[in-house]
Amino acid sequence: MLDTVLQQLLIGLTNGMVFALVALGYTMVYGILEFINFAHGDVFMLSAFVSLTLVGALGLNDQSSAGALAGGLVLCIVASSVFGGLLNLTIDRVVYKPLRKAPKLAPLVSAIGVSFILQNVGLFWGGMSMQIFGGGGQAAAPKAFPNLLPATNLLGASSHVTLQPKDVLVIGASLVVMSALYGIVQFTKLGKAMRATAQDPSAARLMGIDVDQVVSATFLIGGALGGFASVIYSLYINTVHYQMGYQNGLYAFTAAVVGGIGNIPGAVLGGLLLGLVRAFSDQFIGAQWQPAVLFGILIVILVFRPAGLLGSTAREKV
Amino acid sequence: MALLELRDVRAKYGAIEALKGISLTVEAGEIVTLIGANGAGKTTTLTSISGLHKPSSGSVVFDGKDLGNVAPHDVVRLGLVHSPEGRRVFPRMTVAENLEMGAYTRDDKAGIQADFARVYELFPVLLERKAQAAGTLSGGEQQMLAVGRAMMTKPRLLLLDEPSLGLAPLIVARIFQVIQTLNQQGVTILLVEQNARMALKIAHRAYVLETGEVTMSGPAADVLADPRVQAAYLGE
Repeated sequence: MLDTVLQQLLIGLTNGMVFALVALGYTMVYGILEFINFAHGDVFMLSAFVSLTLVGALGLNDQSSAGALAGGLVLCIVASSVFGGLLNLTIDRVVYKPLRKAPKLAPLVSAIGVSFILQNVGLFWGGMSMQIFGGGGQAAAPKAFPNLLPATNLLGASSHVTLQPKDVLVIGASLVVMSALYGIVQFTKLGKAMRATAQDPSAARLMGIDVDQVVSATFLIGGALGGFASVIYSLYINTVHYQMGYQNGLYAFTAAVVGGIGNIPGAVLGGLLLGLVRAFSDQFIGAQWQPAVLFGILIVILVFRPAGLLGSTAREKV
Repeated sequence: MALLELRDVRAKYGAIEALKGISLTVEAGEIVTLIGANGAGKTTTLTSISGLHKPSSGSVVFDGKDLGNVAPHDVVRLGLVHSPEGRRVFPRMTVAENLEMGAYTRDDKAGIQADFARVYELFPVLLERKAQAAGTLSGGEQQMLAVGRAMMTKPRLLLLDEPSLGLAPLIVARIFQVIQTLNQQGVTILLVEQNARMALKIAHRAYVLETGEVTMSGPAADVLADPRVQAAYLGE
């Protein structure tokens, strides 16, 4: 029993880290623009295809040498993060920015539109012939992402709890990236400008902050976090699919709302909570009940804390 | 040449014209006050100057430079800062961080340190509370922070919108005292106030605004003594 609990704790934590990383992209943009970038999940998805293509081009698989794998992994993380950041930034420049002063529904519907366009791109991308899935006949089928890390149990072969190198990688790398983000937001000039803009854009402008620049930086960072998460996710799940952004995006968005949308620690908390609830529900209630249990619990949380767990409900003094 | 000059400035919100051709000047070293009823266009005059709400026609010239095509975030670099109505401090940032945001456009580290010291000297309560979130301060303390934050931009011209709004009389007196001190230290001030009596007492000159137009202007003492002003704005 204890083993099972520990195992689910581990699974929940790793999944939760991925949700948290994606949720950060939603929450950071919302914090500044009060706008849900529904295409964010699909930026995550396309970034995964970048790594998949790279892994295919480099001919990496579980037989490759340790040096080649480590190098390839670093390359994937850099490439997918840069791609995710730039794609997100481009989407903002081309689609959302012209609609900044339009009624709120206009950018929202456009974001949903962009989401579908990106999914279509993913479908096309997935249909290209690539070495690692042998010709790529069926575009819509999930694509195998090779297991680039050894599948050994770090706790020893006799242990009932499985802790693989990829679990360590997911948790460790996520913690590093989240700490870096915290450092940027809390201590750098850009981070302070981001917080100031989120709290009062007009006052930020009056202090000389170029709000457009801050928005661009936010899309760039949020997209890069999504890109990074996509590599971690692909390594962990070993599958890439053109609709993976839809489901994970929805979960991550929910995590952001439960944590308190616009709140950075809230997104991490919400993501971890979602991952843990999902793991335990799958184990003890049954995977077929997953969406109902998960969203049921989330609704209960929101009923009691409508602004989310860390969202501010206290009124500020005027 | 005046430090600030507005020539026939008009501003619209949709179809409503909030400013119907305002012309005014502020000379270097002055305290000039704008008084008038709610909706007369006092705040719009300030947002037209700082560029938050660009005029639909007319020109705003600061220190010989037309601000028509200057983005609001670039106006600060020219030495003009607008401390908006309702204080508008960053509520979830600390007092020190708020002041730091005032110095956002500057990179003269020594100068910034000196200005931190100057603000803390003027408002010791801000030093006491420097690590506290600005949203937890009292209204008066937030106003002090808003003024301090504006000072951190190292302005030559400070636009102050309703600094006394909703504050206790003792705090109001303190704020007005600070405005005078700043002015003596060389900061030119354009002050919008609903507390017309106090504003007129510290100002050198005044403009009276009515429904988007200047209806009277002159030395503050004369405006204060004018029977029409006394009847309309001073409650006598």
